[in-house]
Amino acid sequence: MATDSDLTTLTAAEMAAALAGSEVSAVELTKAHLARINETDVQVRAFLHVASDGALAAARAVDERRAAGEPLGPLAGVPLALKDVFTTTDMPTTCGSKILAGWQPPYDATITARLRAAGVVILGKTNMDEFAMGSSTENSAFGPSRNPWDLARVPGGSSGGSAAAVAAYQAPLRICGLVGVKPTYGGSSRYGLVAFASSLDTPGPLTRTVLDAALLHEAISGHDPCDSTSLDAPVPPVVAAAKNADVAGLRIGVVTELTGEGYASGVLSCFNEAIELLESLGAKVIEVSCPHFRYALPAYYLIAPSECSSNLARFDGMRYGLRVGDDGTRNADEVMSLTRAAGFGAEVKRRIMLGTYALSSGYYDAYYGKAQQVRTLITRDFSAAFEQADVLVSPTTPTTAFPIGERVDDPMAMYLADLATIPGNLAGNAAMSVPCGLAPEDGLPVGLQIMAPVLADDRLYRVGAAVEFALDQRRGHRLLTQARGIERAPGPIGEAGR
Amino acid sequence: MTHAADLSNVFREDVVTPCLSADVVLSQAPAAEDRRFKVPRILAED
Repeated sequence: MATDSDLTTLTAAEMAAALAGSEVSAVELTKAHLARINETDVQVRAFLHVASDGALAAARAVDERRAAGEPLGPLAGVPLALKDVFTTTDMPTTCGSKILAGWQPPYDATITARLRAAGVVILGKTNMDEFAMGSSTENSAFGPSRNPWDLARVPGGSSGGSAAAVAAYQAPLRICGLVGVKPTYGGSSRYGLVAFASSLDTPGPLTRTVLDAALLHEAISGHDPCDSTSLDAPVPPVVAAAKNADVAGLRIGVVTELTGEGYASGVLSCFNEAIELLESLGAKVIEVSCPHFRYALPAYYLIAPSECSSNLARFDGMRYGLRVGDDGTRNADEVMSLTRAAGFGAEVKRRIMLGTYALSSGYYDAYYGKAQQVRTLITRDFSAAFEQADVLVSPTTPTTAFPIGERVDDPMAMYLADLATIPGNLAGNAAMSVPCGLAPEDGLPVGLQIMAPVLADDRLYRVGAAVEFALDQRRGHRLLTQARGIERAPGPIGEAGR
Repeated sequence: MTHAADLSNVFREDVVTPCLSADVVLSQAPAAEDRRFKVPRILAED
């Protein structure tokens, strides 16, 4: 019988196989994960809420259905942690904000419902930057999560808690040495996803391997009538692509604007090694230029705050969430102001103010309108590049994980962490980050970003799986087995950067 | 640009589907009374 720590280091596909072969029960698997959370989360702080009872009940139900010979989905009984941006009827949903502290949503997000229907065991809700605004989880109202590779560093964002959770139960995302996928916009439902910027929000999987991401991608995707931007199109064959992993003859375009200046040398050396590796596997590597990508960051920081200022107007203290100052002497306007002043953190307020300004009468055309035009130019750059190449690649982030506190007082430095991923976010095409090695200078994971055209999500998985397989072969083991943060943990961490 | 996949004018059949009950919705309200949201006064006193 496998020990608890063995069970928590398996990939989701391995867990699924062990469950299907009755080598382990869903209840045993869930108990092992809950024990690991109990043991490590004091330091990692990945979770905002752990749903022990609910998880065990879901696991028991899967075991009973399996014993009864009922047909089960490929991920039935496999545990997962949900980012606290998805509504859940049986757990609080805070989105990392005080304004939603304790809120128990009256309905499940479509993704939550699909996971439940697939028999996936939801362990709890993970920490995030408040309303997903940030790149480190330092903007969470409930304190930062930590990078399991080095507890003094950030786990990335805004899904840092999720990333820390997936990586920690080995020893987000790109800077935690994980696989993260942004499906084509509209490929995964936004119903029940607390809205930040509606034209950009795209839920997706964050996992240990490319195959795991594909299994989850398939489980959560597909048309949802509750989301008018959801695509009524077949889900791309991502699982088959992850198993195929063949890049022979594939045209891979290196985006010249997303390498070079501003990128750390260790990031570039890992990236270049990955490109050579892909070439050795038979891919044709070319350089492509996307000249308008240099305007992506400024356009994003007009579009995202504009949409955020509109979406977050709903938090008015009237129908749900926090209400402050309602003592019978104040009118609704005053209570609303007091509620928002107390409930939102500094970064959220900054973006609401930027967005309100950008959308104000007389400035709308010059800011939001102009940014949307830039967005079209970026989309055209992508279209032209995809005529020459089947997929585009770049490093996922300009640097490896930065220390907690380093950038909290410098929003611009924080915004630059997303430099390479923002063009794809604006255009809405599919993108993946897959680990491509450890930077020589600090030993921290580097991500390879792969971008594919709209609804060609399967190409990400072909390339990602090829890189992952070749690197694992060369290394002789999976990257995550090298994570060392938890073992050398220095106890509770002080007031870094405050 | 409106949608990555050139999607516009999304319609559905005009059919009635179940929705949340008032009790469920009001259960999370900061204040409620007589099956309604209770809010601070919205007009200034004379």
